[in-house]
Amino acid sequence: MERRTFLKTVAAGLGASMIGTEAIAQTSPGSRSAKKVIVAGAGITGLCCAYELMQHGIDVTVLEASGRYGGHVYTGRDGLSDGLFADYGADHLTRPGYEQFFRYVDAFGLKAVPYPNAEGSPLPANGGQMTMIGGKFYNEKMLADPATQRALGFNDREIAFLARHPWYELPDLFLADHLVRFRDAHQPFGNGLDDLDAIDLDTLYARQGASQRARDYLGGQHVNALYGVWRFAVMRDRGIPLSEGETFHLEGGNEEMPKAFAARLGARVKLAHPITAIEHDATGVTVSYTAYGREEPQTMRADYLVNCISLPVFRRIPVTPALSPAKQYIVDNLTYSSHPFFVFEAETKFWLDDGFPTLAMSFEHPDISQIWVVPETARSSRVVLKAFGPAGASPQRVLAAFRELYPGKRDTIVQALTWDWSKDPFAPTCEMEPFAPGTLKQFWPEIMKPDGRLYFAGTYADALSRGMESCVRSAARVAQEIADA
Amino acid sequence: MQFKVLASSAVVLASSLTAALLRAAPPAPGPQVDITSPADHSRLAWQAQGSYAVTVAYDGKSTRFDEIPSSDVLLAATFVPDTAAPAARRGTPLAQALIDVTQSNCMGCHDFNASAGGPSFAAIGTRYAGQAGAGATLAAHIRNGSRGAWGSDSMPPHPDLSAASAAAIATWILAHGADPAVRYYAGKSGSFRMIAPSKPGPRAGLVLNAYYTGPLKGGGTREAAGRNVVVVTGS
Repeated sequence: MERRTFLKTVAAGLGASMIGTEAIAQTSPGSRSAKKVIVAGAGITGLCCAYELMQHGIDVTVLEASGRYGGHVYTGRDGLSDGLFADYGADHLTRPGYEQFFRYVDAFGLKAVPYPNAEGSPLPANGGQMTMIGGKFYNEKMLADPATQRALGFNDREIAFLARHPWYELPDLFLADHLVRFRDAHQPFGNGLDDLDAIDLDTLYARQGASQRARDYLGGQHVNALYGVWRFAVMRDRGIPLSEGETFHLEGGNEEMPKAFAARLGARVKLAHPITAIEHDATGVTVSYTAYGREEPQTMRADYLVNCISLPVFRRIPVTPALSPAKQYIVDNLTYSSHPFFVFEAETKFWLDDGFPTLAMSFEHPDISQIWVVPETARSSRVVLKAFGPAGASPQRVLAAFRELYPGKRDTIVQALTWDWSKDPFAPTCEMEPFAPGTLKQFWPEIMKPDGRLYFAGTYADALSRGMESCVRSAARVAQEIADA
Repeated sequence: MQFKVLASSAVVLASSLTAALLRAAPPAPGPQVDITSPADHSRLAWQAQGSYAVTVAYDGKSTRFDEIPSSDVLLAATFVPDTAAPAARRGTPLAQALIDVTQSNCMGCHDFNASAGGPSFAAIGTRYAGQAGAGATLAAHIRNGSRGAWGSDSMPPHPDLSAASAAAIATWILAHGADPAVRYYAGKSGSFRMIAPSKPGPRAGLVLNAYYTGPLKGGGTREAAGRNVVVVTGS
C-alpha cells in the first residue's frame, strides 16, 4: 500500500514486552512454565512471538516451511556491487510509531539509520521532492503556490488550509470533527459513526466537501470509511503525525531483526518443516509436519498453536475440527497487499549533475509510480535506488519507464533488480489491505481473537496494521495472553 | 583375473546398453498424475477440511524433486450427488483457460474461492455476473492491468497472455468462477473443503481430479495415467 493512498497508523497500548529483563533466554527448570507452544511460521511475527514466549519460560518450537526465516523481511545482496544491499520486503521503520520495535532494536544492540523519503514519505521542507501531476513535474514551491493549487482544482477552503499545512495533512481538514469522537483505540463502534461502515473513505471525503483534486490525492476508494477514520484517530492518539514521522532502516538491512530473534531462539526454530495438518481440541493441539526432504509425517503435541503464517498460505493447511464460521470468514476474506520493489544500482549520484538535490520523484506512469534513494548501505561511491512498479513487471521495463520520465540529462544506472513476491510460496503477501465497505463488523474484533487453542498473530492481528510494528505488537500480545492463560 | 575384468566390462557394457535403450525408448505420451492423499473411497464430514497431495512425473521430471513446480498442479473438487455412480469417476479435461491461469502468475495474487493479494475468481465472477461487456472488461484488465477496481493495489499487465487467452480466462471466470459445485486448488499439496452447493444426500461427496498444467513436449498430451481421480464421500 502506498503512503499517498492510505496513511498508516498504529494501535495503542498493547503487549507488555518482557524485553529488557532478559535479552537472551536463560530459563531454569524451576522457573519454566509447563506450557508448550508451537509457533507456525518464522517470519518476523513468529520469531518475535516465540522469543516472547521463551522469555516467559514457555517451551516453544517454531515450524517454518521455508528454508530461510524472515518471511517478508528480506535483505538482498545478489547482483549489487561493493557489498551494497536492499530490502525487498519490509522497507522502513518510523519514529514515532515503532515503539515496540525500537525496544528490540535497543535490547539487541542493533542500529537504526535515518532513511529519509523511504517509499516516498515526505521530506523536510525544501528537500527536493518532485511530483508529476497531469504529465508535468511540480516542485514543493510550485505546489505551495495558491495559484498552482487553484489551477489543479483545489477549492477555496482547501487552498486556505494548504496555506498553513502541508498537503499530507489534508485528512485533518475533512475528518477532524470525526476523529475526536473515538475514545478507545480498540473500539471503532459505538461512537456515533457506525453508519460509516457502509461507505468508502472517498465518499466520506466528498461528503465533507473535498474537491475532486483533493479526493484524487487522498485516495480512499474501496476503503471502509469507519476503518479509515478510526485509523486516523488512533494515529493522533499515539502522537504519530500525518507525515508518518521520521523514517529509518536497520544498519545491515532490516533482516537484522529476524536474525537477532533467530539467534536467541537457536534450535527452537525448525526450518524446512512445513506443517501439513492441525488438529485441536479443548486440551491442546496436534500438528503434523514433515522435515526437509522427507515425506513421512511427524506429529507434535502442544498446549497452544500460534499461527503466524499469512492467511492465504495458512488456509492451505487443513484444520480439524474446522475453524468457527466467524474465524473462517476472516481467513477466507482478508485481502493483502503485495507489491515488489525495483532496485537500481547507479554508478554515481547522477541527479546532482542535473541540479536536483535528491532523487525523490513520483510519477503517473503505469510502469513506475515512485523512486527514491536508499542511504549508503556499504562503503561505496555507488548508490542504490528503489522504485515502485507493478507486480510481475521486469526491472528493465520499470527502468525504461524511469528513463522515459526522468527530467535530467542522463542517469548512470547499471543494474536493475527485483524480487517477485508473487512467486514466493511461503511469504507472498505484505500487509493487509484496508477493509472493504460493509465488512468491518465481520472483521473486528474477531480478527484478534483465538479460536480455541489456536491463536493468531501477524500484521493484521492488531488494533491497526502498520508494518513490522504491528507484527511485533501482535506477537507480544499473543505471547502475553498465552502466558496468562 | 583377466576373465574377471572382461566379465566386469561385459556388465558395464550391458548396463550401458540398457541405459541407452531406456534413453531411446519413446517417452510416455502423457504425464503420470497420482493423488496420494486422500485415499479413494474415503469419507470426510461435510464442512470439514481434508488434506490432499499429488505427485506428477513427466518427461523424466518429478514434483518430488521440484523439477516440476508445484504451480503446475491443479486439483478440482466437484460435488457429485452420488459418489457410487460410475459417472462420478469420469475425469474431465481441464479448460485451457485454467492451464493459462496456472502458467502465468495469476495464482501469485488470486485464489479461486478466497481473497489473497487480489479478489478471488469467485468474487470477480459474482461482481460481474450478467453485466454487458463484462468479458471484454475483464480481458482488458488481464491484458493491460487495472487499478482501483477492488482496492488501492493495482493489477499488473500480462503481456505474456495473448488476447485470445485473456478473453478465454475472462469467459471462464464469468461462467465458472462462482460455480458452487466445483472448487479448484492450486499446488501439489494443500487442503480442500467438503462443501456442497445444497443440502447433500447420504451418497453425495466430492470427486477430486488432479491435473498437470505445465508445458508439454512436442506431440505430448495432457491425458494422464495414474490415480488422478479419487472420490470422497461426505458424512
